[in-house]
Amino acid sequence: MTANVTELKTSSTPATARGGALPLTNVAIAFKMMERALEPWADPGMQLFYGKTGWGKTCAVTAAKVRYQAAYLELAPNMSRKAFYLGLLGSHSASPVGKTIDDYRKQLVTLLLDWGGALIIDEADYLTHGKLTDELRWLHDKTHTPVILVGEEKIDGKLRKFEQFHGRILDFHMAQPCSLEDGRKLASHYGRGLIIEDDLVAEVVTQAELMTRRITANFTRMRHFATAAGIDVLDLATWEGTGEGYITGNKPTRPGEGAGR
Amino acid sequence: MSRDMQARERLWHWMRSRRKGFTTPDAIKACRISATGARRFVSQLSKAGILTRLDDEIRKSGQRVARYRLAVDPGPALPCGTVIGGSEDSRRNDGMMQAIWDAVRIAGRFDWDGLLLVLEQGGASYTENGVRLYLQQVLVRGGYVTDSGPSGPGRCKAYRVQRDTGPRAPVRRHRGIWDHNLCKQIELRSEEAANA
Repeated sequence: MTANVTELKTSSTPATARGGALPLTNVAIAFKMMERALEPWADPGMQLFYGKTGWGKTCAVTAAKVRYQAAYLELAPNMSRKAFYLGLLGSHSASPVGKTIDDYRKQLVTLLLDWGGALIIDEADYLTHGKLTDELRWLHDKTHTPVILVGEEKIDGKLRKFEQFHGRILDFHMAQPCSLEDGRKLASHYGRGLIIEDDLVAEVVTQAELMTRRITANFTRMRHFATAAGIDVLDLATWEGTGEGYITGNKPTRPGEGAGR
Repeated sequence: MSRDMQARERLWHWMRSRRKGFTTPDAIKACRISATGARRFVSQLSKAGILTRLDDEIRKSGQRVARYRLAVDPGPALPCGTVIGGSEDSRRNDGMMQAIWDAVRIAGRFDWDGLLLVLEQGGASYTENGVRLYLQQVLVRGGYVTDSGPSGPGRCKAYRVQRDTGPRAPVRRHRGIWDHNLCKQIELRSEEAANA
């Protein structure tokens, strides 16, 4: 490859100067799940990773996929069984053989029996649409492929309606909200070239209601502001003085109105 | 070279169909591949243990020609890079490209910071320059992702997946891009068109 790419003006700090690559809390949970799933003596059950939206579950399982070379399928609302099987075949780089669901099912069983990896099913809440719980349970029973389900906070209640499926889930892992320590790591990553002091990190984590997605958006905004203003170090007092505010997920209030929250 | 990749694809499919074995001259004739390219590929596959050497064939002219057949069949995808003993650099690059492609496909829309965070958290071996080159030179110019235009001060580039052809990462092959999922060569878009 030639090195004639226009340089992106995003990073003036070398990678070595960044925060360490210690995993964020949810990434560590996803790694632990994956290691458990891939143990040779692992229970032939599924694992469920659940938590509120914006807490970084998908980011965590993406990191796990990168690390452990897992297969990944994101479900869609009202996904048909055909789309489900084609998606699973696609996640194994396999071209479908035959035209019927039965053909796909047979092909997939053969593939999964030869395969030693884990399968991540994201947006697993949509399993309850259609008959996907039955299909996944059948596949899991036939192949004993380790399955990691990722879903929203209330997924357990939804899956309980499918008793046979729910019975196969042996491990439950709650996603965790962003901690101060995670906040520091994110500040180091998203605010590179800028030092964000601990008091401001703590305030951002609180204002964003511990939601990782909003926290990263805040740090990105801070870096943008600081770069434009030529600031190298940002602390709580400096940021409050700018009047830029925080991304909190709450609508702004008019003077005289109560707090939005 | 792009033509070499296509020729290797042809050769690989032909080899897989020859269950009783084949000789390199037969392969050259059947697959319209250069003698050097065919011999190099056969040698790489032999070293990787994918081909096994059978008894030599003696031609009418008295010339002895080596016969080979598949020792294992790793599937229809063309064995390349790490499988056929690429260098440490190429191994690392293959891993990085696959990690980027995995992260990109899952995210759908992503920005530079988010992508680097996933790579860092996933323990992928990468350099920022390598990621930038792969994004710009392969994914953007191959039409797989589009970018949001130039970045501003303190603001990083955002990208969106335009074409998701499958789980295997597209790779740059000299003058084109090889898509393992489609088993075909993708023409490079000019930098101006890619950035438009």
